[in-house]
Amino acid sequence: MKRTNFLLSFLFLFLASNFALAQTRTVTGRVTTDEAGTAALGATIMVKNTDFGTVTDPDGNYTVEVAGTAPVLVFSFVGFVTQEVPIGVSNIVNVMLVEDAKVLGEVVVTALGIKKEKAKLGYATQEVQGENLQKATEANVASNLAGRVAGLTIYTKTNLYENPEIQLRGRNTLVVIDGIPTQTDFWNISPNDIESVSVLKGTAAAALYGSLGINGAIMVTTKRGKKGSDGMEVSFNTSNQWQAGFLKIPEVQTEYGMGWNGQYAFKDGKGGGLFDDYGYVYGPKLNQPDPTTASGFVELPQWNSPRDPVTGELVPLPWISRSSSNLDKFLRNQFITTNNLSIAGKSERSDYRLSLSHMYQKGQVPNTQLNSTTATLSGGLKLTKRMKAEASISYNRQYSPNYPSAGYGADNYFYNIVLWMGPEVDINDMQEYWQPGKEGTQQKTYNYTWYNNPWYLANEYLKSWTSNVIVGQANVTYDFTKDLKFMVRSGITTNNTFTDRKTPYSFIYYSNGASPFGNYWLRRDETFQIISDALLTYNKSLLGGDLELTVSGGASHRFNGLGRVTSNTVGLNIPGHYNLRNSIAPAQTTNELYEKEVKSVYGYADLSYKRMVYVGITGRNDWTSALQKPYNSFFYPSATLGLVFSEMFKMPDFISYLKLRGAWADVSTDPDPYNTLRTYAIGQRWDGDLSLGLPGSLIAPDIRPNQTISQEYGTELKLLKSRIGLDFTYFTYDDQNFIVQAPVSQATGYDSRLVNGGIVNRKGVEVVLSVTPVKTSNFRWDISANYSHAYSYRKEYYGGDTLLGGVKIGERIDVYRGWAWQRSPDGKIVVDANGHPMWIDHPINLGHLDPDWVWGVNNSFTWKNFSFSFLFDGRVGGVMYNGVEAKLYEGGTHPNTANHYRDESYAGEATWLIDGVVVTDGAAEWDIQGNLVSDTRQFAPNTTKVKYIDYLFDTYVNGIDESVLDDRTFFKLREATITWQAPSGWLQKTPFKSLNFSIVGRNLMLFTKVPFMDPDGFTGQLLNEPTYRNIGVNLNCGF
Amino acid sequence: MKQNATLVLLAALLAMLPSCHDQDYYQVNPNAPSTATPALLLTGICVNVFNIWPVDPAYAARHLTYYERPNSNVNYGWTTSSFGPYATLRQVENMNELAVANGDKNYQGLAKLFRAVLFSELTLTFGEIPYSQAMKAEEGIDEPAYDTQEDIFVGLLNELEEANALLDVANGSIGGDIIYGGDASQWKKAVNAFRLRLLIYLSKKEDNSKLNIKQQFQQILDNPDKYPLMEGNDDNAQLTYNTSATDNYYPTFNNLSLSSLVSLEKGMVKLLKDRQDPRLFDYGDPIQGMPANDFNSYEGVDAGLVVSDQQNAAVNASKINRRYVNDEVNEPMVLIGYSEQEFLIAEGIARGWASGPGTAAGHYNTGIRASMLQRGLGGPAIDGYLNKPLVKFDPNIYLEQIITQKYLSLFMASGWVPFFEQRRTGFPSFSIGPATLNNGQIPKRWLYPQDEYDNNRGNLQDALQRQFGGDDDVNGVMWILE
Repeated sequence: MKRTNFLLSFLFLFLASNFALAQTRTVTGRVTTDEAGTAALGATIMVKNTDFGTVTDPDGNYTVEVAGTAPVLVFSFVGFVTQEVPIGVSNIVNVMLVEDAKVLGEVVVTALGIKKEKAKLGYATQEVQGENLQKATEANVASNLAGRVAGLTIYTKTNLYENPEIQLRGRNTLVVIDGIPTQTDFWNISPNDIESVSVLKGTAAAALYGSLGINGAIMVTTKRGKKGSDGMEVSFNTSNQWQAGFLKIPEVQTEYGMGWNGQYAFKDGKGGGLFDDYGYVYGPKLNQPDPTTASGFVELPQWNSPRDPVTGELVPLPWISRSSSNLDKFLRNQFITTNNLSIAGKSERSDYRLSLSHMYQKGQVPNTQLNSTTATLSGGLKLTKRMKAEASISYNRQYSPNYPSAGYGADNYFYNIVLWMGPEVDINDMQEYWQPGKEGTQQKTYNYTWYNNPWYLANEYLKSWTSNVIVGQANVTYDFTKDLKFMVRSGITTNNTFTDRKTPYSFIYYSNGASPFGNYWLRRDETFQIISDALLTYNKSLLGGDLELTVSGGASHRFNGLGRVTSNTVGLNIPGHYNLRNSIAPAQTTNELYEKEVKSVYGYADLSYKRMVYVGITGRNDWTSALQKPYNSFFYPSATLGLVFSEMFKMPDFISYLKLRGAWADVSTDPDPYNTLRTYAIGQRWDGDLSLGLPGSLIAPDIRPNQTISQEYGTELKLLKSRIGLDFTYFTYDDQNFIVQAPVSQATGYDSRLVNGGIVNRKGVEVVLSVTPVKTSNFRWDISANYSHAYSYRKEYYGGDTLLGGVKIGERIDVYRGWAWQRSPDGKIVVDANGHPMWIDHPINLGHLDPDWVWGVNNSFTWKNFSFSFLFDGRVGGVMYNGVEAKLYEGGTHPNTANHYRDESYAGEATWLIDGVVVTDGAAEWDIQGNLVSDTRQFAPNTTKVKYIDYLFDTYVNGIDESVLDDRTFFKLREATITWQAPSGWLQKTPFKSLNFSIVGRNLMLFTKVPFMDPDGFTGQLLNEPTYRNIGVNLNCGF
Repeated sequence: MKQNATLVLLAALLAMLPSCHDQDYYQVNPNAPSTATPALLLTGICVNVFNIWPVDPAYAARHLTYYERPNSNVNYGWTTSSFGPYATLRQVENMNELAVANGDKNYQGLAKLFRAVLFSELTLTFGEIPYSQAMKAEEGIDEPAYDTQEDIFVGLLNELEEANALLDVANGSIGGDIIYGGDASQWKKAVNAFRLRLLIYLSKKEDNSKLNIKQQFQQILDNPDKYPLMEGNDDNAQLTYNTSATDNYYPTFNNLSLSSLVSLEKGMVKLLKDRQDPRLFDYGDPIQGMPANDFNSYEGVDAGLVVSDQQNAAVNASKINRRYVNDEVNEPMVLIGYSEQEFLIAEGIARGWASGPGTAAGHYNTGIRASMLQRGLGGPAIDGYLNKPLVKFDPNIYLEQIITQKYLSLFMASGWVPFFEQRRTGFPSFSIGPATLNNGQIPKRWLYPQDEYDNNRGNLQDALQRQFGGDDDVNGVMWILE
């Protein structure tokens, strides 16, 4: 430590000497908060009796120009005692601040971008530093937030360019960039531009955003120009990760080929041969010797058999297993690289930052990739002593010339390879995917009824996506007096997205999705949002500083627009010419426009007494265009209270800090535009003639906004000189009078009435535990752990119903409702007289979809110049339908299906015995909800065997959810990084000011009982890319 | 200083400027119209009513069988059905309101016809349904009471009487009519043919004094000027497919399951082969590798077998004719056609409800002839067919013959009519077997939808009590079948 300090001092001296000016001198130094040398980020340094000042950078360093004689620097930092340090001859002033009355003054960004000391808040927030997001980057930076914030659940996806699902306390949430709500899916945000992410978890926290903030907010603060030691800082960051195997990849059996009941012969793949159109992998056993053939194996005509030039018949080929891993053979190694170059600087009057980022991801699926380029310019200018302006503009372009499909169907490579392709096919033999002489018009595949050649899909069925996103904002603040400030701000987001799909000739799909003559489809979206605010703020310190008051009032205006045009051809005249004018029947086009305008006035007041009591109130009134007068105007208040007990009462020594907090908010949200207007729906066109239809929802004339009344209580406790920190939050929300479709008897002519009604209660707990078990001068170990759960309960239905959709009053609403087996009281499956399992006549509640709880634990170690951290996170509980497993059984590719029972089934022998019971007497009845209402059954063990394949079809093909319902529990070693920071001594001889190098790993391990699928982001029948493990390096250097 | 402050305030005002529209501007949805015409609604109604998925009833009626996976229409394991037709009735009500407002009687007549079509389909599916109190959400009736089947049929027959009176070519051409191109006189024929169908459905109630079935039947046949009937296949109420858009294709076009995992059902193939009926060649494909148009080349699959055994049997069986999956236009979808009308008249005369014009045998032969012509089979083939032993009309087995011929003519046509007619008469017998659920019985109805239990429970329970002793049972016998 001492050595480091010495080196640092030396460095500062070296740097400072370069810039010593005649009239003024430059003082540099480092501000720390403890003996371990923890940097004070954002501490303010003012030259006493002047307006000159600066703030410290993330490393605690500062540089300030001083003039005159006997200058004094004033160091202040929230939560610490302000120090005044006279400057002597030395130009280096290092300061260690002392905690002020045991308060740790963490500063967080709150609604409207206002920075507040965390101690003052009456609601839960949690912050993630940008540096945690940029080492082991993911294509979408939101995925990097997984596991880091209690209550924020990220369902990460493995498919290239697929949005992660982001849920805060179980709902979608608002994203705010630099104080302004922004419509973003995070694809347009480079991790390198993020200074920090602050998650405002509750309604009260985000109440100032009005209806947008009803589910809290993710506040992204972007990097700004900071005062580097020479006024300018150039920084370069590169993160590169290569795929190192799979966490989860489905396996298939390799003993049986395509066909049905042990029979197969390919002729035309359309039923001309023997079961060559069936699409099952229940064909003859592979690798069976036959001395009469040239190969020594049984031979059968197959999809790639050559044609005998004399007879014109297909020549049989050996019926052998050619591949055990067609999926693995087909996929490539994924690669992702993120690079950023930024230039930033700051002077007394201005600051700027220019940043250029590029992300490239090579997809696992051949011929897929994603690029994202972002250029950001931000700056601030002190126009006069009282007026300051800031502006930023960011341009992002995402472009993927081809990205894969994730749905279940013949456009998905996984469907065509894993579920239905037999192991006698070697996928590498399919690379020449056009039939000779029919290039461009007829693919060559292994089944011409159901399945596409995966290489043909990869190279000819192309889905592109291009987005141009511009996020710009500007604000001006004006200080009328020291206490009275005025701010005006405006932010725009525009997103122009173009996406298209090229479907080649001979494309196979279900029903009308098939395109024997190809197709071209395109869509153009233009979204636009502008939000403007004006805010007048008055600060006053009373009672000699014991009472501080902030009152603020403002107005806001928001406009959202979405314009969309979608067109498609009906077949293509010229194959491969993807243009609307090439359509066989007239091309079809639709357009849509959605506009909404919301005008608001709002205000807040914060009151603090000493460091003990903090009170905050907010109020806002919105006028929305999406509701009708007078219901388009609504007011929502919130109130928060924070009580710092450790300031009020004497606490035992081991308690460093104790605060209780509470918040209440009543927030309303408006619906999407036009949702409450009665219109006709455009129906099907018949032979060119338009039709209209009346929608099935009868709209009540007095629709009011949705209302959420939230309460949240929490405590913050720090023990043993803040070595242990605990933040506990309990929240309960009543979503009431929401605009709902209240179902009515369809015999009324309508399916539902659109009304306000019902109550859903959401409640949950969030716990953040931070522990520093070891802290010495050159070693430090920090643990940060998150726990959360959130459940939603039905409290009331509109119209007084007690039971709807299987959910009674008082029950959780996230039920998984599906088909289940009839069972005896001891849990055995009931089979019928023929040995087949029987199911209950109505769907029943089989479990809950939401996880029981969600957790994440990050460990970080710092030793000298090395730091090491790893993050585990996971979810416990919840059920998921494993559609992939069901389909593997159905297709006959499931590894479990290769056994002697299958051979016996082929031979017509019933050899499989279900471990169940038969009913010998009596009967059971279930009500329409699937509850057992009477049961007089007597049972005997089942003795009737069935054919194995019949058993498989009964169990997995009947759509009985229970047979493949998995517990969705999993955890992942999400990230591990080892970083070496070059000691400053080394850097002196180099052009670098800073240099660090990391070895990173992302998604390193997955622990789950779910077979074949990664339960993190996928459920049901979605056919996702296998989850891969990434290992890479990150290099960051500053010049 | 002051200047600066002014500048800031000005900037604030500028930022507020984009409030460019008043509240009224946003109360118009640019993506959907708020007004309609009866013609625009009629097109949608016709698509809903005519463009049905013909495959499920074809499984239940044993025209086809499906063995990709167990299917409730094949194994008779079905439970609930839906109140979906009420959604189309909503369009019908709205069309009627608009027609009343502008005094257009043709649309009012069509509204009554469609009410009869849709309400009868609902009641034949479930039994009692809400009828007199139905379609009244806008009047605040959210829980409509159920009507007895007797009252429903009295009402529907009466509505058809009114429809016949309202429809008149003198009221002008009907816009939006994708069935008859606007010709009210043809709709009028469809109304009366449909009325004959409902009357025949009520054959077990021929002495019911509220219904007066026989009198109604005779009255229609006796007054062709007042109650015109179809005079040929050109009068068929049917929707013709086209290639203007993929959703205008025949509904089974390119259906992969239908193309590879569906065969003709064994029972139907036997009936056709026993009669050397050439329609077999139009309905099915020969067994793979065998010559077409040879009765030995066709076989069906027994729908009573378990799926895997059906698959095994399918190797030596006939798939559905390729045109159902390869031809976008294929054939029109018939709601009710001339041949069915003739079978209905034949049955009415044979039952003694009417004395003519014509004889039962004559109408029966006309019905067969119309069906053959519809399937593209010419005169000489028909004459020979009519004289085949099993075909030649025999008054002693008139019901079996008429219903069997109707059954054979309605392949992939008229939805659930073949199933309902088998339910009424027992002809032909449908295959059951080891895979048949429901204890090996053919269900007689469907359970009421779950939504009714949730949203109209009291009235539903009253209806169940009246009909089936409170039990919602697929084997319950509804009034019309008693």
